[in-house]
Amino acid sequence: MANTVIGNSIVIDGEITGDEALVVQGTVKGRIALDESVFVENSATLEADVEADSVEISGVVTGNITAGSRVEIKADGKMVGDVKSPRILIADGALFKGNIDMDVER
Amino acid sequence: MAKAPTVITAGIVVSGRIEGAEDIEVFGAVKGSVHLDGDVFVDEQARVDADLEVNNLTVHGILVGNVTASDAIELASTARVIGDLTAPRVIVNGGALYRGTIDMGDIEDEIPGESKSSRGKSARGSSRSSRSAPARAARPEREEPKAAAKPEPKRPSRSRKKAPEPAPEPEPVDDVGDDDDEPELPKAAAKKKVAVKKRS
Repeated sequence: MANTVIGNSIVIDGEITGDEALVVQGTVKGRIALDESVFVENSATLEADVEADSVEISGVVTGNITAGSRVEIKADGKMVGDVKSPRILIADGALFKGNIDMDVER
Repeated sequence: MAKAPTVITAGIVVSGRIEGAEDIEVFGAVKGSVHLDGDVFVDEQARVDADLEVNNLTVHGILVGNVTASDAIELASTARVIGDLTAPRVIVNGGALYRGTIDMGDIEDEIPGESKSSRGKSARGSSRSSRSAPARAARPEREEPKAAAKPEPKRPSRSRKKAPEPAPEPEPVDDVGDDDDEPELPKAAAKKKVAVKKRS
């Protein structure tokens, strides 16, 4: 089956947890905690703290992100918040304000 | 299956308030409340502990909560539902387990010799009290609205909706509903966990 999709017109105020990939096209306020990937698409607005394996941002995110493997802010992505992840990619054109922690203490 | 824009898959739990104007298919879990200008489909494996306000609702799985639908509510043969249902059309298929109060609105006009004022109060009173009574008391309740609604065309609702699956073959109502499963519902309701063991 396909991913979990939060469609364009949907607003979720609360918490999304689980172990499957999540595609957000609408609005999520609160918290997202997954063991999988989160895709924040163009039309999406996240006002949430995110814990996931990987996060891909093309929409707007306000909140802190903790990722197990990687965070990618695409060219049309906008993010305000702190990011903690071993790999962080910020594309040319992306807007970002916040702290980045790649956990470099070696 | 008609592709709904919003899908909550089996491994996902959404808790909180969901709002929007499109259809949602639930294969995982939803807790809280759903206010939707659209249809909700609850899969056989899904579990919803939420109050719903939707256009159409089709339940194949577990639902605990009150539902208000502007169009129709259908409980499939595999549905296990506790809560009050309010909708102009409520369809309960054979095999579905249900406890609660069904309100199809002012159906007094459809019943000859039934005046709204006298009927309205007594009906409300009795249905409210049966809600807290054990499932046996609720049983006639579920028969009554069904019979009363007969003049309304029920069948078209099935085809008009983009029903995701062909209607499951209804098992004989009395076999399934009565002896085996009846004690299970009240017990489960008390725990607020409806037959979770059945999911595996």
